[in-house]
Order: sequence, then structure tokens, then C-alpha cells
Amino acid sequence: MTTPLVAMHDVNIRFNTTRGWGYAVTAVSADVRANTVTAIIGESGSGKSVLGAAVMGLLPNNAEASGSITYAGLELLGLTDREWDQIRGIELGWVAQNPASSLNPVYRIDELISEAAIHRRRIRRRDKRRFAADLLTKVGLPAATGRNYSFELSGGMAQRALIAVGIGLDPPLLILDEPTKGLDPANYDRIRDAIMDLAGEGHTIMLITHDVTLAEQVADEIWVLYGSRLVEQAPKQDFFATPLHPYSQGLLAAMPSRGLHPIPGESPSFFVPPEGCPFVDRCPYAVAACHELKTPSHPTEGRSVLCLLH
Amino acid sequence: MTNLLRVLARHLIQGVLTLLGITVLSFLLGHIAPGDPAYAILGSDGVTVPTEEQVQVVRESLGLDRSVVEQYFLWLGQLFRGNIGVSFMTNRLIEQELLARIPVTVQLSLLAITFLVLTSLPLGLFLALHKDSLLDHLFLGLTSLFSAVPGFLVALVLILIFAEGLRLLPTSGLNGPTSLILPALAISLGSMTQITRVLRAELLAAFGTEYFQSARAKGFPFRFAAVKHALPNAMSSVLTLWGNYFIAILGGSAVAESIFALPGLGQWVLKSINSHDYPAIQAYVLVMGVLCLMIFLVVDLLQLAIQPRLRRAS
Amino acid sequence: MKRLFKQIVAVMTFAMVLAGCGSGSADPDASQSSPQANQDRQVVLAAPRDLTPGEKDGYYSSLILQVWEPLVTLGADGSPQPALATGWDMSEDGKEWTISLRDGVAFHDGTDFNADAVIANIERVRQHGPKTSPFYTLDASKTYPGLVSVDKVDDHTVRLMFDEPSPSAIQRLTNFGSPMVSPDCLDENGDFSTHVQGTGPFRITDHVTDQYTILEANDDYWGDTAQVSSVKVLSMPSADSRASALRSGEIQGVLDIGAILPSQAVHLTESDEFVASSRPSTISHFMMVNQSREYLNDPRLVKALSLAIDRQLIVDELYDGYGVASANPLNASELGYIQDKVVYDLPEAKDLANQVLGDQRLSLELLVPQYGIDRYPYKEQAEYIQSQLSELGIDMAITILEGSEQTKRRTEGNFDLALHTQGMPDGDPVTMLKVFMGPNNGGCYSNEQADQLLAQASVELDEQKRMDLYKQLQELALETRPTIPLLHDDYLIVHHRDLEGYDATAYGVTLSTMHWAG
Repeated sequence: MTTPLVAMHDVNIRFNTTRGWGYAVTAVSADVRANTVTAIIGESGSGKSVLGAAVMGLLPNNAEASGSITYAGLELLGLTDREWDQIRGIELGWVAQNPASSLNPVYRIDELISEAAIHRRRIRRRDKRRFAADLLTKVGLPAATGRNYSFELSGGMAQRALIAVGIGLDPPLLILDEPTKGLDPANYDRIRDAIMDLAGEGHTIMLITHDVTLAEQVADEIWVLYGSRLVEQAPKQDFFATPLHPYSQGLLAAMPSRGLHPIPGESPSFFVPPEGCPFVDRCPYAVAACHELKTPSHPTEGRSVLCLLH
Repeated sequence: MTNLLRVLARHLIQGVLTLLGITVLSFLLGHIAPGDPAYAILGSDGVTVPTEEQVQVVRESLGLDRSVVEQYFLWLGQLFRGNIGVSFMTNRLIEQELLARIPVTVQLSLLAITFLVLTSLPLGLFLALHKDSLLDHLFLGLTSLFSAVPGFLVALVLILIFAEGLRLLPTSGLNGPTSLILPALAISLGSMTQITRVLRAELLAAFGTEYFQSARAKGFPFRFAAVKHALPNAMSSVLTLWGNYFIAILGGSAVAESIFALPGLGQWVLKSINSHDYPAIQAYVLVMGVLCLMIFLVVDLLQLAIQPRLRRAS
Repeated sequence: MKRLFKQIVAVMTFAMVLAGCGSGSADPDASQSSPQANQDRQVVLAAPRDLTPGEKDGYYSSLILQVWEPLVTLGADGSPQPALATGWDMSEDGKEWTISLRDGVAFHDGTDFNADAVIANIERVRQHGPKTSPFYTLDASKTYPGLVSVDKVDDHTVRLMFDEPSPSAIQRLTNFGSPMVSPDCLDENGDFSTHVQGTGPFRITDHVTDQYTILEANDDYWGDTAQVSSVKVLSMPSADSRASALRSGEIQGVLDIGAILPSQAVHLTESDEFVASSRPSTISHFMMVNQSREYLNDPRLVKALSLAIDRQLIVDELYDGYGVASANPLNASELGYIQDKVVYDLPEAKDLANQVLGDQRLSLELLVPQYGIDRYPYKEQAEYIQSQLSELGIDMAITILEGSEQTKRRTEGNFDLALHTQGMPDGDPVTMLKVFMGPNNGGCYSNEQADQLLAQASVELDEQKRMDLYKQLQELALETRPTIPLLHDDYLIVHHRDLEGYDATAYGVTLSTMHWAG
């Protein structure tokens, strides 16, 4: 049994907005094991990106997080700015959504890739281009891309460049937020392959995505978030063979490969604190007691599910 | 780099057209405005009461009896032959006046813009980094104050404090580099606060962008990321503002030059306007036009330098 | 970033320190090591304009700077006094003037002052004039009308020949009427090719347009040499700056017309650090009346206007007492000036106005020149007059015009009332009186007796009789009102008490007698 690299316990994250409190993450407890790929899937607004941001310490000012998120035993919630600066980039790597807006258009790609390493004095300024070239090749881009600016790259190239930026300091943990969003099939495949290469090299990856197919292809473990709660967590094989939570079942049924059956109904509101299982209004098996369900159950070792059925 | 050539070509063509336009306009305005240079010249001593015959003689000698259109083209023709004209009032070559005065105004304006940049840049950065701090609130309050106070009042207060009170700087005149400090300060103070605010706002906007997030995600401390990643993007708007203010400073130096007894272009054109010295006014408009166009060009080039995406033809 | 901040702060501090070290301000207290003030120490003064307009100017520099001297100056009573001319004689028929020139005088460049030089100077004006200048206009037809020739009698005597009797010729040569400069410093156009080479107690050693003029004492001066060896005259257009410079010790005094505002002078002299000095100047303030207009052509109404204005009030309140209230159009510095007793009688004014206007109200327009607003309290003056005339049944609108625009309208006769200043044209009272009473006068005043008296005074050869004619003309003016004079301005200056012997004159200051206090 590998030790968890990231351990989350009862993590709650809410936002103080002009319209009142918004509940992004509620009572999430789960672990990420080292050298694995954990895919956190869910629809937009399920809270998965927020969770990723929390691990990076990049929550906005109006966010309030409670609970515990540890990285290699170090408690992340409540770290000072200084402490965060020490570990970001080196221990934790982040590849944001929207590569077009996540790459500063004022600098060339090689600068963006190498600057962290130069700042931490791992390489010298004059080695910038070579360093960048190596990383670019790693993600499948030609070395010459280093001299380009972000706005000169296509969507797929930019996404890969962004990955190259994220791994500049070779962090053990990599968080990828929607890396294949909006990409055509060819680029999709390239990114998927890049992720698998990275996993193969020993990086621990938290892959945040709404693309269940991608999760199936690259993940070792699946987390399903719905309505701010972690409704299911299982090893990949188990999950895709026998999804336990009705929402997970619905998700899989909606996959193109399985028939594209949509789930009827609407997602719960952001501003309403979830009581019990958030899927209750859309679940075909819902009963009154579902409203009070607070703790997940563990039907087998390594699986958890928030459902009265199990 | 084709965009660079485009930029230069555009500036050149627009520049020539602009210069033609402004000189025609100022010529017309000068002639339409009430007042008569002949009377101004003859009556300049405050003693002589000119007769109509005398006035007529002077008008003819100055070429004022011809049509406005004819006068303009005469002036233009003279200009192309390299002669920028002779002052009605002093009978001296305007070229001489310009050579003596342009450096004064340009130096004053450069110093003022330097003050502007040297304060608005660090201050804007500081305030953005310490948003909502006491200093931030204090500054925002001060901004309204300084923007409302007219330039000459600032000048007089500065003289009172630094020249009369502390005796650190001269009250007026042009005696070495220290003479330009107070006037430059007087000119730039009002804009300083405004531009700082803009920079602060631009930086705060940049702090919210995704590329800034990504920079922080790499472990860069906030300040480092602020300077390296937020600042260049925030500078774009500020750069244009600086350019506009430089032009305003060049033109607005007249008040400061009068109060501080600096023999620059501003003081000269005020005198010329008062005495209806058309050739002098035309020369001033021309020179200012050229200076402004040059500044616009420099700003555009700087924009190209800091914003690479402008370099590629769209 | 942190480093960048520190660097910037360091640079700014450094700059401020530099500024502190290199200050150009002269602190009077700091440099005096001995109680005996050193006359070699440069005196620094300031004027509202550049007193050295330079090569193309008719005079190159103002009379005030005492660099060039005229043949005759103006005495305290307005009469011509010897300067470079020691004496003058008129022929029996008044058409010839023989002028004796001072002996042993040299120009700054070493050339002798003699008859040849005088002739060259006068010919310069005849050939190349009129030459404009912010001070006066050099115009042969004004200064020596009817001059036929100027001849050399001997090295120190010249003769002026006129085509008609010219008893006042010498009066017209006073001050700006006869500048004497070395012919060698003139070029073929009558302009200056070098600094002006005069004969005065000071010479110009350096000059930067609109910045400063440096004067050095002329040790070879024929009269009392200047007491200080070096003077720097700054050009400072802003009145507040001049006051500041006085307070900060950068300058020791101010000079020229409008050098200091009366209110500033009052302020500065409250402490005993500063001293003010004033004398009646050559400038007078008027309200011109267009007597060709309806109602204004009635002398009773003009009289009413004059009686309705409390001139002493204007002098005391608006000019802080610096001025002479007067209804005499002749300037107080002129020869034969008679000080009148001003009359303010509002009831009488109302009565007269009523006689002319009856019950109706009259609308009039007062033109105020912009320079009056800038340099004088004309705004307040106009408003005061407006309220006074309102009592007479006159609704007076105030129109502010740019200077030359107002002059134009006055010349064209396109006005009702106009505030303006009039400087003393020359030492001949007739010249000034003609402005108001002569043919083509601005106010359309027409009086046969005035015409007669003016014509007579121009040709009256007997001095006594001429003085009597001046008296009659002034009395006529006071009675018939060709215009409405308000006051004769004072020439006002202020200086630090460290400077002594610095007093105002009618047109200037006593530069050559000023010295540092012992």
C-alpha cells in the first residue's frame, strides 16, 4: 500500500459572494497516492477546479477553506505566502485551463518555461533556450516553439507548451485542470499521451476533467464530484466496471461510447448548502433519508460512495 | 517585422497631414481672433496712439493687407525654403528664438515626465501591492485633492515651501539644473496622482488574470510576479497616458514658465498671442506639432517593444 | 523588485540632496563675514520684462539701466536738464537750436562722444526710423518734426535747423528722445551689431534674452561713478515670483513699471526688512469719452461723469495710496504741471445728468483693456464706476477687450467710454495735450480755444509766455473736459534694507547711487 501523497480530510470550501455564501466543496475526504493518476471528474460547477486550486493555495480572497489538506504530511491549509512560495512549482505543479490566457503574451515561450528554474538558480540564464528545448521536445513540440509567443501558437500547441511550463521544476505532484478542453481529436491524443508519459516518469497527477473518456484512458483512480460533494471514489477498473453511485452510473451512460444518454434534471444551486446527497432531486432511487445522508460508506477497500444503496 | 514599417509609414503620412491641418487652423484662428498686430506693434510702448495711416503702413509691411489664403501660402512657401519667419514684434529671426527656447521647454518637460514616471511607477506598484491599506486610502483621497488644485497654485505653494521657506531651491530663473526642479514638480504633481491611480487599477486587473495565477503557481512570490508578469501588461495603457501627459506638459509649461521666469516656448507663445505676432504663433504651432508627433511615434514604438503581440501584422 | 524599490528610493534621495547642495539662492545673511558690506558683491534685481530687448530694438536697452544716456534728461519739475548736452540756445526766429556737448566723454568702446557721434545718432533715426520698441518709438517725425538738418559747428557743438519755429525742440529730446550710442556699434540698418556702447555709468557685459542682463560699473564715467561694481538684472514676468524672490533673498530689489503690486509692497514693508520708494511716474490713467455720441456730446453729462467719480477713493482703495488723484490730463511729471484739487460731488452729478437725460436711462459701454486687468486694478475700477454711474441713470456695460483690439476701436471711434493708460510721450506738454485736445483726438473733443492755444504754444518762442499757455491749456482742460483723467500712477519699487541709495525716479531707479549698506 503506497502512502498518500495528498491527504484530504473533511475539506469544505465556500465563497463569500455578493449574493451570499457559495458552497464549492463540502466534506471531501480522500487521498491521492504517490505515482498515480487521479482523475477528478464532474460537471462544471461541481467544485473540482476549486479543489485543485485549494491544493495549490490559489484560492481567491473571498474563499474560506476548512478541514485538512496535507501534502507529504505538510498541512497546506493555512500556509503563509512565504511558505507557499517555497513549495509551489517545486513540489506542486499547476497547468491551468485556457492555455491562451494562461501564458503571458509578453514573454516568449522559452522564457516562460525556464524562468522558474532560473529564479531558483537551477539553471543559468544562458542555458534558457536549451532547457526550454528539452522540455518542449518532451511534450512533443518542436524546439523552435521556444522562440514563439503564446498568441502565435494553436490551441493544442499552447496546451502542450503550458504543460512544459508546469513541469519546469519537475514537481512530484502535477495538477492538470481540463487539459483537453476544446481540443480536436489529434491534439487530444497528443495531450493524453503526454499525460501518460508524465505518469510513466513518476509524477503524481491530479487530472481535473469533465471528460470521462479521458479519465478512463489515463487514470488509476477516479473521484466523482457532484454538487460540491465527493459522491464516489474508486480505482479505475472497479469504477468503470461497476459504478456504484447513481450519478456515476448516469455519467457513464451519458458517454458517447455507451450511448450518450443524458441525465434528466438540473444541477443543484451553488448557493444552497448541500444537505445529504446532492443528487437526491434527480436520483431515481431517492428516498427521504437521502436528505440526511452525511457520511460516505466504504463498500470495499479503496472505494467510497455517498449513497444509501451501498 | 512588417508592422514596424507600417507604424512608421502611418506616422509619417498622418504626421504631414496633421501638421498641415494644425497650421491652417492656427492661421485662421489667429486672423479671426479680435485684435490687430499692427495696432499691437504700434501701441506696444503704451504711449503712442497710432493713426489710421500709420496702421495701414504697418499692415502693408507685414503683408496683412492680402487675403488670408494668400498669406498662408506665402508662409508655407517661405517655410519650404527653410525660413521660419521673422517676429512681428521684435523683428528678430524666429529661428533664433526657437533655438534658444526649445531646449528650455524640452528640458523642463523631460524633467517633469521623469518625475511623473519615477513616482507613478513605484507608487502605483506599491499601492497595488498594498491595496486597502491605510496608505492606499490616504493616497486615493489625496488624488482628488491634487487633481482639483490648479497648476499655478501648486507652483506658488511649492515656491513658498521650498524656495522661501526652506531655501533649498531658487524661486525662479534659469540658473543651472536646480532651477527646473520646482517648475517640473509643479507641472507633474497633478498628473502624478492620476496616472498612479491608473497604474494601480491596471495592475489590480492584471493580478486577476490567469497568466498571473500561472506565474504564482510556479512559486514566484507575489511581488516578483507583480513586477515581472503584471507590470508589463499594465504598462500598456499607462504608456499611452504618459505620452499624452508629456504632450500636455509641453503645452502646459506656459504657466510654469511665466511663474518661474523660464524663457521657454510657453512663455514666448503667450507673449506672441498677446501681441498678435502671427509668424511667431505659426512657428510655435508647427514646432509643437512636430514635437507631439514625435512623442506619439515614440510611444507607439515603445508599445511595440513591450507588447509583442502588436508586432505581428493582424 | 525589492532591489528595484531600493534603487529608486536611493536615486531620488540622492537627487534631493544634490538639489539642496547646488541651490542658487543668495542668502544675504550667510555670506557676510565682515560688517563692512563689500561693494564688489553683485547686486541682483528683477524686472517684469526683459529690459534689454537687444539688437533690433530702437534702444537696445531701457534708459533705466543707465547704459546709454540722452542729450537731455527730465528734471523733477519736468524741465529739460543737461546730460550729454551742457547747454542749448535758440535762435531769434526759433528755427535754429545750437547745442553744446559735454567735453571729455567717451563711449564704452572708447570712441569719443562728440558732434559727429550726435549727428550719426540723429541721422540714424531719420534714415532708419521709425524704430519700434516696448519702451518708446524712435520716430523722427514725432521727436524732431520739421527737422531740416543737423550740422556740426565744432567738435562739441551741433546745430539743429527746423523749417518752422520749434521752441519745444529740446523738450522733445528728453530721455528716450535722444539716445546717444557709439556709431561703431551700429550696423548699416541702424540696428546694433554688438552690445550697445553708451556713455553711462554702467556697461552691459552679458545678456541672455528673457533671462538676465549683467551690468558692470563704468570706471571711466564722466560723472559720479556707480558705487557697486556689478549688477544682475533678471527678467521675471510673474509678480508673485518677484515678491517671492525678494522674500527669499534671491534679489535685493525690483525695478521698472509695474515692478511690484501696491498690495505686495504694503505687505513686504510691514516688516522692516524691506523699504518701498515711490515717485509720480510718467503713466496716467484715463476714462476716455467719445464726445461725438448722443448725450455724451453734451458737456453737462461729461461733467456729471467726472463729478460722479471719487478719484481719491480709487487711489486709496485700489492703488493702496500709490498715485495722485487728478482730473488734469497732463501727466504730473510734465513741465508746468498744475496739481488740481479733485472734486467729487455726486449730488451735483445727479442733477446735471438729470438735466440731460431726464427720466430715461442711458445705456453705455465701457471698454476695458486686458492689460488693465492684468497689471492694474481696472476690473475694480470699472465696477466702481459702473455703480456710480448707475446713480446717474446710466446703465454701463463692461466689455473687456484684448489690448490692441481696444486700441483699434478707440482709434476708429467705435466706443462710448474706454479705460486706458497713457504714458508721457516726451518732455513737451503740448504733445500730450494734443493727444486729448488736438485735432483727431480720440474723444472727438472739439474746442476752438483749445486749437488756438495749442497752435500758439507750439510756436511761442518766449519761455515765460509758453509756460503761461501751458497753464491756460490745463485750465481749459479742467473746465471743458476733453477726457476724464482719473489718476497719475506712481512709480513704485521695493528693496531690501541691505541696499541703500536705491530710490524711485519718474522713470527708473537710482542705479548709480545704490550701494550695499555698511
